[in-house]
Amino acid sequence: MVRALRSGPLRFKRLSILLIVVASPIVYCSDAFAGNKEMVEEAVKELDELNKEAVRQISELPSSGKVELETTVTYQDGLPVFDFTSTRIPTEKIQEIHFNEGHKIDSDERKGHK
Amino acid sequence: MKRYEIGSNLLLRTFIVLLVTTVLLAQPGLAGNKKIMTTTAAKVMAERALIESVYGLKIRATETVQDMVAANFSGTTETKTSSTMKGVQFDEVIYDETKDVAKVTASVRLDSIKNIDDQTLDLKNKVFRRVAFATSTPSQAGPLKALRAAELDAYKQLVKKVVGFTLESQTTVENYILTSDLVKTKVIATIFLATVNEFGWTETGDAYVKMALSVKEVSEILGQQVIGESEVIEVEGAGAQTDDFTEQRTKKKRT
Repeated sequence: MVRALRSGPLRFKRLSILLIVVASPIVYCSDAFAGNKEMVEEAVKELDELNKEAVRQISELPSSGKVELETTVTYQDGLPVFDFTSTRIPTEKIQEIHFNEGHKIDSDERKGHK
Repeated sequence: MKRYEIGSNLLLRTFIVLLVTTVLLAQPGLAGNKKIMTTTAAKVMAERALIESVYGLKIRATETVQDMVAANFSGTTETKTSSTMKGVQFDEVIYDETKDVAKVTASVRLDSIKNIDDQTLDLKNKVFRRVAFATSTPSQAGPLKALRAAELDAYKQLVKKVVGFTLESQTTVENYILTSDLVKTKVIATIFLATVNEFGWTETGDAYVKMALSVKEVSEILGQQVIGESEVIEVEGAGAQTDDFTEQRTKKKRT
């Protein structure tokens, strides 16, 4: 029985299993060595930091809400300089809306018609 | 009859073995144009590199990321250039027969040139030198593609630093804490007189290109004052051989 295990097809099977066990981590690791995943993650981190830096420069930043911005970014002494083209802070309020009363719109156009 | 069959099989096998051996032995003698094709391609790549360095190139790059999740990142860089250059010399041509990879060092001495922005550059017989690689064997193209990707990344970074770029974003502020919802950057610009100071591959096979632009030199050549004259702007571009980012994204989508 022992002799049969040491030779013939069973030995081949054992060797194959051993080869798979040894080769699998090498193949798996070599795949993890190179690639663009790390570069993408780095780019995402940089974009996030840059955006947050831009947002922090907006005056009257709400404590809670949304901020939309468009800016030109240039560098001076290695630091980003923001020249804002547009900034928008859409206001959102949690408030009851009544349908049984009139709503006044306070805009220049409406004022002109008065 | 049986003996005749055995004899015939043996003869056929001998013939096949001889034929295969002949074909295998004759191969190096037959493959004549591979080296020429590869070195010619490397020369063209070196010429392109010189044109990009001296005449310049147009770059269009965009980056978008949603909810700061790497899986939602998309970045593209496109370049374009077209010019005629005279007097390019190939200083060194190396061909690696085993890998079928050619390395060409090309240089050009120029007195003046009209750049991509139609500005006349007084180059005062300056010598420009660039190195390029090429292969005609697709299996060997990985490191070369990574190097080109790193080169384009370096150009993009240089343009962003020199010219600037547009940033568009939507951000949520919640209890004074910022969360970037959508961030977009875009740049369309031309760049010229960029030099490659160093390039190579890391142990993992990723390529890097260290590129620089001397703002002082550019202002001297242009005869115009450029902001930050004493500055030499340096960047390092990176490029990968394998797209494990998309692979991971596809795997995640499947599961």
